[in-house]
Amino acid sequence: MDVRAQISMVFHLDKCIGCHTCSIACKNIWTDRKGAEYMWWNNVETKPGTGYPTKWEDQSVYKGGWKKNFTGEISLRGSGKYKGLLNIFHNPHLPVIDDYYEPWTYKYTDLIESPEGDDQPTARPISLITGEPIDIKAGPNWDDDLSGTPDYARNDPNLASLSPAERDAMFQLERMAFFYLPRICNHCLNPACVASCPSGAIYKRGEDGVVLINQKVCRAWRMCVTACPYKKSYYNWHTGKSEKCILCYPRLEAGLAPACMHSCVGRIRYLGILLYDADKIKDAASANDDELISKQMNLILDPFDPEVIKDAKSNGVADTTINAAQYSPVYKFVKSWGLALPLHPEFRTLPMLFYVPPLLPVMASVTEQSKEQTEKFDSIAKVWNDKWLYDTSTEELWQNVERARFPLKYMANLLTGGDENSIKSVLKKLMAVRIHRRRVTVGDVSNQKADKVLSDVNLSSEMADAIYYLTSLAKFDDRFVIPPAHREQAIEMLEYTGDTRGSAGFGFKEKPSRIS
Amino acid sequence: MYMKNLLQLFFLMSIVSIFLPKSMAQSEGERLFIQICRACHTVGEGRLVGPDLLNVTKRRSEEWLLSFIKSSQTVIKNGDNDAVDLFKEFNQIIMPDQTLSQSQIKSILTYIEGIVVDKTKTVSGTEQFKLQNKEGLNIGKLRAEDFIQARKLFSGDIRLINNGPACISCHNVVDDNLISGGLLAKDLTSAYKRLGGEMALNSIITNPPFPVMAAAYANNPITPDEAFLLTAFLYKANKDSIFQWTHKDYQNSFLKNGIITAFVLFGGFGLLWWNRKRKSVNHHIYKRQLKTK
Repeated sequence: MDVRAQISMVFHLDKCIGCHTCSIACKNIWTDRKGAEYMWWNNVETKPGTGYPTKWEDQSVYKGGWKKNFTGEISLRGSGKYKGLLNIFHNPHLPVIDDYYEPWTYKYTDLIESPEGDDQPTARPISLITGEPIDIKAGPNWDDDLSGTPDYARNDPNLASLSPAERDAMFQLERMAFFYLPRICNHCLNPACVASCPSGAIYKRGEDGVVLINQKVCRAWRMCVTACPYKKSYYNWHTGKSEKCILCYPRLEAGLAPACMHSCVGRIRYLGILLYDADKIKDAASANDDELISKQMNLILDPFDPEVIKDAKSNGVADTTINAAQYSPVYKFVKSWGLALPLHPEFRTLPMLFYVPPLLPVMASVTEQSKEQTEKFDSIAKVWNDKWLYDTSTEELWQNVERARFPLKYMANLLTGGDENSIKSVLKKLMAVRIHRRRVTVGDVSNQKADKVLSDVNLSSEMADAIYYLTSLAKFDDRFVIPPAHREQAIEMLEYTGDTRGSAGFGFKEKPSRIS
Repeated sequence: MYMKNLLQLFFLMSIVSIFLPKSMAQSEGERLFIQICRACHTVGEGRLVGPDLLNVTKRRSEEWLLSFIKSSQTVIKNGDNDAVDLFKEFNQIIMPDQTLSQSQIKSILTYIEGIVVDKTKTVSGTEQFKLQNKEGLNIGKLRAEDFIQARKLFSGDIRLINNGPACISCHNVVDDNLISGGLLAKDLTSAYKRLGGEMALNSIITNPPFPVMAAAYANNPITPDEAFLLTAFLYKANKDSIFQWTHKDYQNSFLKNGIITAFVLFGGFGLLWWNRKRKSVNHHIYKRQLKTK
């Protein structure tokens, strides 16, 4: 057992309000530079939608992630040793700037310096890449809140396995629903970007598993851009190096939450340490499609298990880190309660960012206004003959989860690689917590019914209360359990610190070189 | 017997005169004639590449001669019948334009005028000089290794003694053992036949009448031995040209093969990259958008 520590995250999608505060916080700190204007290390997508870059989930276009060979081994889909060598000078599957969007600003001086005329002066949009006036074609959130649905949402790659009838049902005006999907680098356990880099510039930090690109070693092959199935590695055209989310490691080392998490208005983000067994990574990454989730979950070790603690200590994991792992909110969501799932596990990178799926408005009813509305419905749509347009409130306990406004198949494509049962069990648990809390706060649910609901999903009322607490009431220190970084130990592994330790502080200072 | 000896002496003299350095010429006219005209013309010794110039001043007016020598092609293009007939009669070989002044041409004409040939020792027009090298061998008798040396001289594998440029830099000769030569001057594969034999060839090589070639070898003259070998090479090239593979239409087959290779190459790349990403995934969305005028 090779026990290691990984900083990992849980995003609670039911709580995300799609305000993009996280994106702005990240942009202000890290990517407000020349060459990085188009990058959004953190972005929030509307689902269903095509996301950023457009259709990033469609690996038939971008060739990211791993795929399993007929031999049972996994290999990179679009890069790697031989494929990478063959394509090293033209790298055919890279996203182009139009797949992201062309960043722009406005020529604000037009507003005050324009000569007097019959109409109001306008600030023309100027490309941040060419400096020329441009026609704005798209932005990073052009399909926000389902705008441009025929062009964007209907082309969501997750809809591919849904029948035309199911898809049409999703996009009826009266039934339409959406949720937000905030995305950062997943800091995967089996990162495709690290495997693809011809220069060896990308590495996964030993002490906390943060995946970083060494800017001094990067040689701009951009294989990581192709290889990352989440398209979270970006090429800076100005510096000629690739960049990605660094999980605000300077903040982490100071005990602060990353900027996107710190600023989160909906408080949807949780961060904590997980202990995992590095020996099982290969096995988990090359598991069969139906076992991907369970094998990834088995990687994560119980931080209270004495065996695990012993092996962790012998492996150099600090006591403070083990302690943090025991209080990790991520461990609770992912392992103790089984509420969080990795995004697109079928890419086989073993992402360490987990999502609590959105329950969405399950209990809702809309009264029909007129018959005319019904006539506009698609022929395959279910039409209620009574006055209800749709009604998902029900006396039955679980029926509404299966009949949720979002087809289970869609959620399964997003979070479980197509396995509807896994997603259903998570949604049922979320539902059970709501029913339990309704019994406590409103009291119109009978104890018998609420208890049955909880026992159906193997939750005790204490666990349900704990879930409720961490979901709704958790304080800063509950949401972010950041262990001391112990950088001094990490540095000692790399270089001899005896020279500086105990010295008077004389030495040579390297001036930071910044790009003007 | 005396006459025969005289004739032999005359022949010997004429051959020697070809190789004589120009400083030894008597008058300016003679010097210029030997340097420029002698390659293709004789006076009273029969036709070479061009006609025998004996009594040419009596046959043509001085004005005509002046303009023809200055630029024969201009006269021909102007439609002068005599000039056109002459051009056709001599296998349409272009007489190169000369950068000679009026007075220089006149001095040559005076030199030609002054030559009187004894009618009794007329030389038939078709009779050719026979070239011999130092060992007294004719071109036809040369050994195979001599021809190899000749070819190396032509291709520049062996440097010309006076460091003149190798023939191949401007001329092409169809020979499987050679790379294709330059396109700056005429193809010399059939030069032997075209220019009417070894004597004329040898004269041209020794004393190039063509301005560019003359300038190229002005300070790096070709030695008589080299000229002999090069003549021999061209003689053999002419004889053997039909046996050469490269005698085929080289330029057209290059184009044809190029097109086929391009198809194969691009087809191969097309197959290799048939499913690569060609345009932005947003292409069809952007195409629908309205553009500002």
